[in-house]
Amino acid sequence: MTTLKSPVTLTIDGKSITVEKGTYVIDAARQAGIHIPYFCSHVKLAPDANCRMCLVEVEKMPKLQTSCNLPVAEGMVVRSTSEKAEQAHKSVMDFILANHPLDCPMCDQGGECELQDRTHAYSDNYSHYTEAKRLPEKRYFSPYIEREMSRCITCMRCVRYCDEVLDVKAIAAVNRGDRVEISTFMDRELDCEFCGGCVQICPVGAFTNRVALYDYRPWQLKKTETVCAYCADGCTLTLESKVSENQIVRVTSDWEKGRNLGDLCAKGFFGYHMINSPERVAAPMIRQDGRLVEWPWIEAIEAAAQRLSEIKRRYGAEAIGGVISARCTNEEAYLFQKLLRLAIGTPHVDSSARDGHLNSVRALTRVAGHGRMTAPYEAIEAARVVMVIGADLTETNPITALKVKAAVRKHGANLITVGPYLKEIGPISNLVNLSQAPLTVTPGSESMVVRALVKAVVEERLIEPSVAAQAQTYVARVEAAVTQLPWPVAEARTGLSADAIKAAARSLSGAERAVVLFGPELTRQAGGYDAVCALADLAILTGLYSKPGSGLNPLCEENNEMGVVEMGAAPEFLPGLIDVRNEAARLRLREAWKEELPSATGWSLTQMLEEARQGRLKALYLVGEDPLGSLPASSGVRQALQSLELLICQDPFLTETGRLAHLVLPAAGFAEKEGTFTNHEGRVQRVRRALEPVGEALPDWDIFGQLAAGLGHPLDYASAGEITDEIRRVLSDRPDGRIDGAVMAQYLADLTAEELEARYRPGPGAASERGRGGGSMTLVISQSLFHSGKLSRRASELMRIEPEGRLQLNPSDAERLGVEDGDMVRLRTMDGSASREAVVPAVRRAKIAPGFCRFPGHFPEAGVKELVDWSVDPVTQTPYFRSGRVMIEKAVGAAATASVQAAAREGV
Amino acid sequence: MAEVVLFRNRDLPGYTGSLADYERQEGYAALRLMFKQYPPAELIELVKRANLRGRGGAGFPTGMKWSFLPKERTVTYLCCNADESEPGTFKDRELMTVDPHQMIEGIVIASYAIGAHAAYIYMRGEFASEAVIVARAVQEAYKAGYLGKNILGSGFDLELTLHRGAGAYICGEETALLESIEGKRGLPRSKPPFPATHGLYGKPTVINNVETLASLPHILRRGAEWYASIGSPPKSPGTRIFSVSGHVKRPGNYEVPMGITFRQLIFDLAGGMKSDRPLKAFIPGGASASFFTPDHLDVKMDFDEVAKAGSMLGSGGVTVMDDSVCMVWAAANLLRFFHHESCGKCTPCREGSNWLLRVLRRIEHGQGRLTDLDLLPQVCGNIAGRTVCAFGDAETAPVVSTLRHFRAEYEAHITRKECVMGHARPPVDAATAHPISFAGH
Ligand SMILES: Cc1cc2nc3c(=O)[nH]c(=O)nc-3n(C[C@H](O)[C@H](O)[C@H](O)COP(=O)(O)O)c2cc1C
Ligand code: SF4
Ligand code: SF4
Ligand code: SF4
Ligand code: FES
Repeated sequence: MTTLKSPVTLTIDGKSITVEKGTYVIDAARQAGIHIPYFCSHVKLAPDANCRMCLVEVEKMPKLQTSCNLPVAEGMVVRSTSEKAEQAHKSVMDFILANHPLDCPMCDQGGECELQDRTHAYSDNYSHYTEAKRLPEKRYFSPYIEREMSRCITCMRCVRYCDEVLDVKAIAAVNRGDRVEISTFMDRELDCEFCGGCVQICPVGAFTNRVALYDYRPWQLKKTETVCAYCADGCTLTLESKVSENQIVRVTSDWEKGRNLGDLCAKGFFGYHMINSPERVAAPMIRQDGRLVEWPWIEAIEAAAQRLSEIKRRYGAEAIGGVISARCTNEEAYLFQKLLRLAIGTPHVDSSARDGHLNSVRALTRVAGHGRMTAPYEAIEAARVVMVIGADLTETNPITALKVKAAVRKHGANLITVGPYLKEIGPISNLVNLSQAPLTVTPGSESMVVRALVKAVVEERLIEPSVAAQAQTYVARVEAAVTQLPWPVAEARTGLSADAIKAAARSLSGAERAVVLFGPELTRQAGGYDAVCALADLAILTGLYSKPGSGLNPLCEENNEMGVVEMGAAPEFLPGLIDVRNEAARLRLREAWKEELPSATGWSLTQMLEEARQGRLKALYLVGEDPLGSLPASSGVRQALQSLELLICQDPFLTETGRLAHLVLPAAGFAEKEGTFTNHEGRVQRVRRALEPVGEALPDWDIFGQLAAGLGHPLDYASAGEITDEIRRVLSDRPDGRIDGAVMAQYLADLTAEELEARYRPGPGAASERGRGGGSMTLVISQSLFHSGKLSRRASELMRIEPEGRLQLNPSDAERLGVEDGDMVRLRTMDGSASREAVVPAVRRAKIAPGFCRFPGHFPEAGVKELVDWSVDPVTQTPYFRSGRVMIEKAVGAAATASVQAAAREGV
Repeated sequence: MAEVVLFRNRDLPGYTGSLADYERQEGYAALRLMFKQYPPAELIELVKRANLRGRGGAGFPTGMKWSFLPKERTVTYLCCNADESEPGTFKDRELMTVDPHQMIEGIVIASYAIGAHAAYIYMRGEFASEAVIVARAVQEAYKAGYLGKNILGSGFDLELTLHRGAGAYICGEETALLESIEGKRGLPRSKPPFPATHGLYGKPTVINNVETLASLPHILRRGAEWYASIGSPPKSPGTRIFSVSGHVKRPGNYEVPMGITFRQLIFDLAGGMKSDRPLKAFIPGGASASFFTPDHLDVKMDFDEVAKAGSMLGSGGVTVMDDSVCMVWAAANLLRFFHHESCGKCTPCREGSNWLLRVLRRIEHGQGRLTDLDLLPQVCGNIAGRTVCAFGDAETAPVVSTLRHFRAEYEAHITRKECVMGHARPPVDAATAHPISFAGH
């Protein structure tokens, strides 16, 4: 038992219990194994004490007390089973059941209904109420959530959850007395984040999952606890499936488990249809006479092995490269790099984490020895100051956003948002609304804000004293470097005043516990690596690395970006983030693997494409990767792929790239395999198999094993668990998320004045001034709450919620253009004489700063990705293709309709 | 006749309630005296010594309420409860319209005592013309320097805001009132914590009734000892305004010293029974109070005496009924109000109000069962004392008390299957069908 800070001892039902001061009686009872009945009380919510089910007798108090909001007191004597208390429980049941329809036989909640359970345990099984029952009028609510108000017990859990946890407030009680109903503003169709929280938290069948309506009885479903495959927040969820149909029926999440503690976003809750998608590839396919034809597994593997061996013989192993998706498990990434490095003998292995995450890992590993968050979710919640920079957090990482919301709303933290965003009241929550002094910046100037913050910290003498004392040379060098950045330049580029920046710097460094989170609008924009290095300076100088409870937190997009890089699926890193150039470490790994591994530094994804174009890379093995679908044409990706002699695509779906492949191998989805994912905090979590793979699909690790055998170089594992064990063994001496003091000391000593000067030189201007497109608006390709990469495009319900990409722009810009929601707009860029354009629907969003517009990257077919600037980071080879300057005009007539038809053809 | 305090200006010829009129009658003199002579702590002591008890309903000692505020506090709020929505109570309305500055002066005094620099008047939504009068008075007070920055050069600042309700009875309950001011649904909060520590916007807050606050200038000017000696000392000193309605000859507001009897109020002051029919029952303190019968006419109108006799002075509304009134109808009619106004937050009240109403209606319309007479008190017992706010207790009072005093009338309805008083009966279906309509019934 942990020691209590201020213990309070009380007696409940004759049992003496000692708990922390401030605990509510109902929770104290639960800790002692005593169940006091309740409805409205919930671990996720502040007490509201409205149902009156939890009444108890307390000595010296004349009236019965609600135990859900009664704080314990020393010497308190509580009785929950006295005659008076039990009579009260029965009477509340009598009241609640008076108007309940008792349609349990057809209610989806039947079998897991808190009302059923309590009726069984606490009522007389007899109703004293003989009047006619109330029957609220049934009105349309939502395609996703079913509302049956006759079952509502008015506990307000749903409303409180949507407000207190989500900060959305999409639903509220309307009317009074026994006419109370849960409804939306003006009784409109529900428009919200569709997190499903209200469905999960409703104790009865008043809110249920309409997508699964009448599809199941809860006890018939097989429940598999696993980790979500969409984003890197790493939510634990339970896949509930019908074994006979091998289908996921619904998703739930346990309030007491996982990093998310039961909270989910729309992708987790409603996004499960991608698993059983009819678009899944069911069998291997080989290209014959220009067409892909189905082929037996054994022969497909043989063909792959044969062709790879052939290319190796003809051009050498280095003519082969492989890229794995960051959606694969750690085990698969680990085995993939082993397959390439050992079985094939090539150093060219990379992953989709190249797309931004490598900027963080490279910079942070240099500084602290690893690239994980240094402040876990609990620390975010407990922080006094939270800064979010370069991310519209609700859209990119909705559950991490919940932790920030809790920090502000539950614990009163000071939130500073940095980005081209404004306050907005709407169906989607907006962190800017919770920020007292948001920094609304010129789009693309986030990295300049970071530099200016460092300047402010140095100039205002806000440096953490221990750092100032221990790293004098470093501090002096930073001081010298920031003098190159004059305030007027910083102000002009960021659109912020020096005072605002200084104030933010002051809050950050003055806070007892401060956490900075940064995301794609920093790491996926040109100069991303330098920006993270500057951010690390900020973290070092303000003590984020040294003050307990503080930290610098990189945000990842795909679920296992953190893991695949740590597993060595990167040309510059061996497993455990070991620099491939580190001779000693490579030798140690050779001991473990008992094999020689290539000594050269391999090519990154972007380099592989370039080398393919140059004819030096002949074979590319893509696992879950679709570069053709994601990269702009200006990257030359099509030409690169077409130059290959062998293109293998291993994927659950037939992608755009897959259509060019010589060989397509059907991979199992996350629900069909075992393994682990590492979320962006660095938590390694179990992935469990819920379903049999669709058709003949196999887990990626299994395919790698077979291919290795085919190549005459067996990598034999009977299960994913065996790979996990090996990883544990091999990486036993690797840092576990703690900051490596030696690495940091080395970094601070080694960092040259030149590098620092280059870091703080203002450079050629903010992205908004630099962009090639020549228009007046800054376009950013963004992420949407309802989507994740292109995977979510296979999830039918998510496609119903957000079926198409819409260009979001400020209402004032829309007005200037004469554009209303849903109107088509033409985006155009001029690059020299070449003009490119795309026509897409627009939507007004007050949160988007004027002069800024964004388009969700999940809809590449809209052609917007062809309008952005393409470049590659000189240090990390990160491809940049998410922003540009565009001209916008209202599209009229034929163009508007043509584009709509095109969209219709796409099946969008 | 005993001394009139709160209404002393009401009947002055030509008195308009303007600032000038009020000042001519020593208005705001108490304020000057206060700034000169009383530090806040002494002011609280003064009010304690005067033993002023709240006029909003519960009769809670005002000085004691003020001293519950935490010692360490940065922001404190005062709310003047002018929601007056209880059927049968209409005293605050007259106080505010006849002499609005008396209330404002009281608000400044209370704010000064508790260190509040922001105060709110929460006014019943239906009070439209009243709101105009009060708003005008507030403006006058600002202009004259009785409100705003550095009041009368004392260095004390007070901003006073008039906030109008939107038509819910429950918003008179003090914590629902706070929620409403905050812009939320007006629902009572579960206590603890109490407003003294977690009130408006989570800050220490005092809520006082209009009449309570209006008494303060007089206590200040004339002293705690004077106040403590009038009325029914020691526990119920002072005067009180009772709103008399129903079957009396002269309905209206009567300011009387506490401690006179109901007989004096109803028969001497209000002129006795209209059309000279005999008194059958009366409600002594607003719709939330238990019914009394002619046997209670000699009970002294003093907090404790009325409580001892089984009811309460509540909000001071005395509703008089002659022998033409059916007691089942009366109870059902009150339940119609309570059912309509239950906020719906907590189970016993939300469901219980509906249950009681339906059973009463059935009995009223000749469809009662003898078992209902056991069921009704049982349901009431399951409501009272178990709800979030005192509304739950209130809605049971008419049922329990009419059953206690007029059980035979209930039984007659049931056995004779009709209203024994010969009240008109709507068709049973319409009467017992559930009132889904939001208008009420
Ligand atoms: C349902 C309900 C309605 C109430 N309505 C009013 C009201 O309209 N006016 C009022 O002054 N007090 C009302 N009260 C009492 C207040 O909650 C509170 O006790 C009172 O304003 C305190 O003022 P006092 O201490 O000056 O009496 C109501 C209480 C309940 C439970
Ligand atoms: S699904 Fe919508 S209404 Fe329900 S809790 Fe989530 S955001 Fe709120
Ligand atoms: S819908 Fe469910 S959660 Fe919401 S108030 Fe009704 S019973 Fe409670
Ligand atoms: S007792 Fe009635 S009015 Fe008071 S909180 Fe409960 S439901 Fe609302
Ligand atoms: S659980 Fe305590 S009142 Fe609902």
